[in-house]
Amino acid sequence: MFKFYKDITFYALLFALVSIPLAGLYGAVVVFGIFGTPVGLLMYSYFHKHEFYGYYNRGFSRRYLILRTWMVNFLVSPVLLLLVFIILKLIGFGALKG
Amino acid sequence: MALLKVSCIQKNFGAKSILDEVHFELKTGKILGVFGRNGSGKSTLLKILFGTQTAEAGRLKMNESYYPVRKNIWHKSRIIESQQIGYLPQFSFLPKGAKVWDVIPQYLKGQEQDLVFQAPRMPKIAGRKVGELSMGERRYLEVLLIGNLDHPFLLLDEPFSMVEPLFKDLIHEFLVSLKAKKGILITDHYYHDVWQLSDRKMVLTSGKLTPITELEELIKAGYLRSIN
Repeated sequence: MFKFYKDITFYALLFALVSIPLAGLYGAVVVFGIFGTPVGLLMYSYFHKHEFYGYYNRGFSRRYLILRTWMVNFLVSPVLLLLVFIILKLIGFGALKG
Repeated sequence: MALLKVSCIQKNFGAKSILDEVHFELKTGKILGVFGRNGSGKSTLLKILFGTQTAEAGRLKMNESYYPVRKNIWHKSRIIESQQIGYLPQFSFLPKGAKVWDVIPQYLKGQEQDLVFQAPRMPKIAGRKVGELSMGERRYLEVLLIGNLDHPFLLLDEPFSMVEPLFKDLIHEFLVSLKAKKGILITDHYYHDVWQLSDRKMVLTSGKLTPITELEELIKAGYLRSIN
């Protein structure tokens, strides 16, 4: 199950990174939490579609895999928001300069 | 002993009926061979039984529990979650970039892993990436992984397809050894292998699954032109 999470989240992070110029740093985190998993799932379904059968055989339905991954990423995004907030504040205070 | 009872499977593609009131029984300790031409609905039947394909009607009964087939994609797949049925699809489902020794622990825990690691020919390929394995090696690994899971029933879609004789024999031997604890449904165009392995045989024609006992009946069913 962790491999599925890792694969989906890789694509979700990639999508969030690409969205930075449009959505900004905070927006990218929100994009990651809300839209990242569905986009990751689309990519996974395109590149690794057959691998779902490995999970099915171990008792994980597609619904279970998607909901778990989405829930984790959704819960992780406030933490990421906080991290971005702290890093931007530190940069603002000059703490991270040379 | 476990019993899988399949009844009234109905599947249409548009106006065409692919499976028409399909029913059969499978006990653990038995192998059921299903024959049929391409497009006859063999793979569709297996996917419906596994819960990854929807059907118009039908249900499965396993050990006093009923599992209706999925009628639409939003319908929850109770069969997968019950872990009563294992399914080997026609295509390879293992991640090509992963090494064999990293894949095995994802499927089996603790000492169960040795069933795969110590299987014939496996020590030689354990350090290689799945994508580097030959067709036979990969299929053999897949059969070993799915076969060693705890499901009492196993659906095998073309386990011998494109597999070199050496690995075909290994798969054959492994399936015979599995028979003691599982009920196996197998379908493959390598009909001699399926015929040899199975205790009961059925042929799927015009949506109907019919029992057969003689190879000649495959000619009558339009599956073979002659017996080699």
